[in-house]
Amino acid sequence: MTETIHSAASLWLALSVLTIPLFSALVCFVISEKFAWLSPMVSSLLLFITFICSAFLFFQVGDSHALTYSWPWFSVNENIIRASLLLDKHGLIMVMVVSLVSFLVHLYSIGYMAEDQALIRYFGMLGFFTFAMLGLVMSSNLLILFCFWELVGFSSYRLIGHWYEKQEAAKASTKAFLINRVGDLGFLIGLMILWSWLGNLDITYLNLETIPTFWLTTAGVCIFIGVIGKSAQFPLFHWLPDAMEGPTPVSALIHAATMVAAGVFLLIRIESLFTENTLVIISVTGTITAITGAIGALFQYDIKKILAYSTISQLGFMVMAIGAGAAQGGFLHLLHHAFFKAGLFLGAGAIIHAMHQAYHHQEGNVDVQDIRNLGDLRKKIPITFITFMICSAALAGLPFTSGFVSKELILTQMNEWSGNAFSWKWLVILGAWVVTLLTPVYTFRMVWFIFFAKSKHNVEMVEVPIVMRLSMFVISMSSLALLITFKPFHILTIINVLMSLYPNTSHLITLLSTLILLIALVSAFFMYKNYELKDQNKFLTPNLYLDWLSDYAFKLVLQFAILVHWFDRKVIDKIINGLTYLQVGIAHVTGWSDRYLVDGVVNGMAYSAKGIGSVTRSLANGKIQSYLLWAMAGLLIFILWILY
Amino acid sequence: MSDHTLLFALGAFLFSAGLLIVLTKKNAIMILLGIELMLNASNLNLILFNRQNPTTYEGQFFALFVILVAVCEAAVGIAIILKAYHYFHTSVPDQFSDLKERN
Amino acid sequence: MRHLLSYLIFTPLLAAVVGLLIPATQKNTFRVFALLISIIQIVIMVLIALHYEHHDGIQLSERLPWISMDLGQWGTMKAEYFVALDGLSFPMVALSVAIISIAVISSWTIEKNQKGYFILMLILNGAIMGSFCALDFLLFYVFFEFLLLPMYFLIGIWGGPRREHASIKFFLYTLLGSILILIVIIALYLSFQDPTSGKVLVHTFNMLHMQNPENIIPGSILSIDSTDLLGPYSYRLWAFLLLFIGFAIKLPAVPLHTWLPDAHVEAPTPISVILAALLLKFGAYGLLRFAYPIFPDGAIYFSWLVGFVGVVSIIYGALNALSSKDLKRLIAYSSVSHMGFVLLGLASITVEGVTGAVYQMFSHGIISAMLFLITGVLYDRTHDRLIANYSGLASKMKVFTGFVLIAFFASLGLPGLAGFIGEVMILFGAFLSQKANGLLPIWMAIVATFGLLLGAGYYLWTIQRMFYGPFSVKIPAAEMNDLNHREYVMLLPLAMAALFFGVLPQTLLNFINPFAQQFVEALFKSASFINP
Repeated sequence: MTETIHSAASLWLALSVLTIPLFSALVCFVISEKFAWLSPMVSSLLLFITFICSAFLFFQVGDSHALTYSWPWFSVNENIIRASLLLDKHGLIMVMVVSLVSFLVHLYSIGYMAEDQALIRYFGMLGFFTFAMLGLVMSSNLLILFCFWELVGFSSYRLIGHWYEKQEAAKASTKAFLINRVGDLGFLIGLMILWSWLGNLDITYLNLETIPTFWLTTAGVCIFIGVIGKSAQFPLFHWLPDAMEGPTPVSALIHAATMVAAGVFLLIRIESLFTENTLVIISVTGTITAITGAIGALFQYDIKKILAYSTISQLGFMVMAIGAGAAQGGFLHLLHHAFFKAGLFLGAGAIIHAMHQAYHHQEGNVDVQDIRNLGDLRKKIPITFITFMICSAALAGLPFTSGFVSKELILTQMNEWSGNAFSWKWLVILGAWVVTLLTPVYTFRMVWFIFFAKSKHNVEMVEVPIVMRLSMFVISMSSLALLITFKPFHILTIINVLMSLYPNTSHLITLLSTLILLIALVSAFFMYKNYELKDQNKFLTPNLYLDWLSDYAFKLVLQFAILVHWFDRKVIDKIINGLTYLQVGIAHVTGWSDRYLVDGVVNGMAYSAKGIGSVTRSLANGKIQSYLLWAMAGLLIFILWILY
Repeated sequence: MSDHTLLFALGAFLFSAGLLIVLTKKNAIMILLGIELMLNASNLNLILFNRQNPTTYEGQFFALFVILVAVCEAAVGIAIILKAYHYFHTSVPDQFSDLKERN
Repeated sequence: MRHLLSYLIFTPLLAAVVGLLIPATQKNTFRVFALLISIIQIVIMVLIALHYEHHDGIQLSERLPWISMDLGQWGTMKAEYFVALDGLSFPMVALSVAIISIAVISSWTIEKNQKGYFILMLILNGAIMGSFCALDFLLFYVFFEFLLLPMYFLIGIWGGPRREHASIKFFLYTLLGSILILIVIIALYLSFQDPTSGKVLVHTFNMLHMQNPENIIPGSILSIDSTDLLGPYSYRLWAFLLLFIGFAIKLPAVPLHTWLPDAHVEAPTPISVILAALLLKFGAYGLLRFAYPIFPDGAIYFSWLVGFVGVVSIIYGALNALSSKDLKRLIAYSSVSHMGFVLLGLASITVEGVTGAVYQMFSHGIISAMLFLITGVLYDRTHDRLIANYSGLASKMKVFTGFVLIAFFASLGLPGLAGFIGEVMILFGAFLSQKANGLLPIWMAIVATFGLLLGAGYYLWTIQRMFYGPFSVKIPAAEMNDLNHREYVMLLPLAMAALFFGVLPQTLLNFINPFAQQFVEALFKSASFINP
């Protein structure tokens, strides 16, 4: 009895968590232009309710076994595809993270987007994104998950292209969707494989024993291709830096905290699907991505692009962790990353906003996102500085921050996974250590040039509005250490749940990583202390010419398409037309022959009769003598004939 | 035979001359004269052929007969010519074209 | 209530006769009249939906003797007026009623010879209903040929600058297809007998009899134990091939598709809508209704070919769309691509594939109608369809852009909109085929998924070029106003339907599922009867 009430309450909570953001989106789209100013408040309020509901839901379900609810969505061939909710530990934590970050981003956007012309569209899509993302983390049917997976891609497309008058934004949004779509094809093929062997796509009921290993591996790899697209892994990561054309809060929500993390989340969800070989591919891809992303972040000048590459690197780190048997650590890092990276983006947004306001009154066009134009901001915008520092510390993995905890966990678990004997696994471990070395370096570089280095420009700046500061503050507090933030709400459950994610870490690894961190920070300090940022190193384009490659691929496809079109218009159509013309030509030939040959024979007969007639008639000319002449001639011929 | 040959040649000459006259002369009376000449040439021939076989007189009889017919013919012919001349005001048969189609 | 289908078919035909009596000077009466007929049809359709029960047989059937002729040595010919609905035709008829109503509203701006236009529309309307309801092959053929005629005039008189060329091309192409079908109809006539006629040999065109291979006359041209070959194939396989080619022209499948871009580019907007949303469906409908059930052996033998043509159409159509400079041409080619999916699903002969194919037919009807209405909206304002001449429309025409997004994303297969369900099921079916019945190789499904990528490519690129960026229109003095009420009324129901059938596919699948299951089951059953 208690159980049913309990689960019924959870169901209603879960449904309201899912539908309130959708409702928020609807409200934004039906609201009239005149009341457009209302939409930020309304949707922020609705998102706050969502967050409260998700928190309740979390405590309701807590550490107990996972709950599932399902309704038939559609049926085909007696297989029913069920729209089903899976409320388990991972999912619920994600629900809470998504709704919290989304709420904070909504709140932040009230300030950040205050002067925007298209508030309705912005908040509408933000609400819709939150709905899709929550649906993604809660659904347990892979097909439904795929639907939400595409829908988050769609809302990401719309939000990147929010300022579509800018060609770059328009291009970036198209690129993001298309590259995601490449990954989604992989996902879809994976689903096709699973469907053909199982006839069922519900994660909780997958009976994997019936699939041959080869197909299971293929399905896993195919779905992982989807993850590569969505979570910006090598070689499909170059859409993410471009996606920074979107408004900064969107980057914080979608391209740092939630959507790009969806891939990592999916890996955790369908862990049971992965065979040994799949895991190898996953871990190697993750390692490559983590390292290239970190190197990329080292050479960028745009704050948002630094953060984007850092996101790529961190996502690669998580994917590597999952591939290398550190799924728990990977998931924990996903949570922590969501907060600190969102915090960093919000901070970057605050800097951009403040700089923008400052330059608003000045002449000239300064790229306020370029760290070469920044510097010495720590005194001008202290609150932003503090929150940014906390989040950066978490990113770098400083002790007492959330980033440290999850990094330790990952390194420990990977250490156990690699074993003592030397194998390829050591290369992955090496990669992990390289990333832990590089991350503090680029973080230090970014922070140094924004807040500490001398500024070329000296402008008066004011702090950003209170709503923005508030959300930045909350988010940075949660990256300080996740435990503290939630403690007042419900001590026991939360600690139990979270503690279950924290196995004992090895002290050796802790020491080692702290040492590396110190080395990295100190060397970065000496490296950048008197360093002048120069123009970009053209050779070391951090995205490994992938941009060029994908543009080239697009051009190639387009050229091919033009060729095909030419073929269609000039060859196939001409052949078809030619056949018609041939027929018409034949018709002309037969028409001609009908007129001149068939008819000609008939006419010819008449003409010849007429001709002969006129010849004979000319003999009968009425002259007796000529008659006689002919008679004589005839007689002569007769005589000659007789004689000879 | 040589005298006969000469006479045969004379007959042929007279016949040819008559024929030529019949074919070329425009006037009907001249044509009639040509015909008479041809008839006389044939009479000569008939008599000459009769000389080849003197026991009979077929040739002579035929010649007499021809002369008779020629007289009748001349009489009828000249009468027709006169009648035609009266009607057409010409004795040239080419101009007797009442029955000819107009072209 | 028993004659609902006849009402549906003959209301517009009768109305066309009545319309002839109205003097041509009563200009605007005709459009109101046509709209009234459409509304009556919607009411009839609602009644039909209320009477329809979800099972796998035919319903609401009406049978009347139509032609019964003693042909002496050639036997007795019997054709019936036999109309009924099943899980395949119900969605198609419902779609037709809806699309034609919208096409009538879309024709509101027609000025040239309204009387002729709307009477032709009414004839077209009745012929479409009749073709979808007919279950007698001859009756179907008659209705089908009957609808080509008004179509020819509607394109050829009310079309664009090259309308004569386009209409003649359309007519010749479809006529060629019809002739191929007619050849098969004659062969079928000679080979099938009516089992109910007792000892007398009665030839029939009844689909229910033709689906059953036991009704084949032994020793006839299409008899199952005939070993006569014509070239490489038996007569039965040739007959299937002819039917396939005939219907593939209408589908249209590459390489028999070139009439479509021309016809679409030249046709006026409402006619494009009907052409894309309804006429293209006859290709797939004919295959599902006639070619496959009558020749299951051919269907299985040539499944590779059909699947291959489908995959080629998907990719080829998408590539052509990608490089089209004309918006309408782009959409026409995208239709080729989407109908390729139908062919692929059909070729797989799996329940998933067939269900997906029917679903795709329906959803493509909604979406393509929307797409052509969208080009119509632009064309009405500027008389120009070149993509390169527009930029940044999103900032001037906000509501319109919203509809464009829905239509484009529905067409490229975004989940939650109607296009996704059909395509996903087709892909599932095509992939499943190798495991389930060994007909299609796996690579076909995988290559077909690239159609989804290319689809996203050409639509997003079009959005980027036409709707994003700074606002500019190359046509001077063109007023780019947002949608007016009439356009809104046309687009909104379609957008709602695209959303509805994307979110709640089961409403439609309730009709399709029994049909698809019975279709696949019966097909394999009669195939095993033919080739034991």
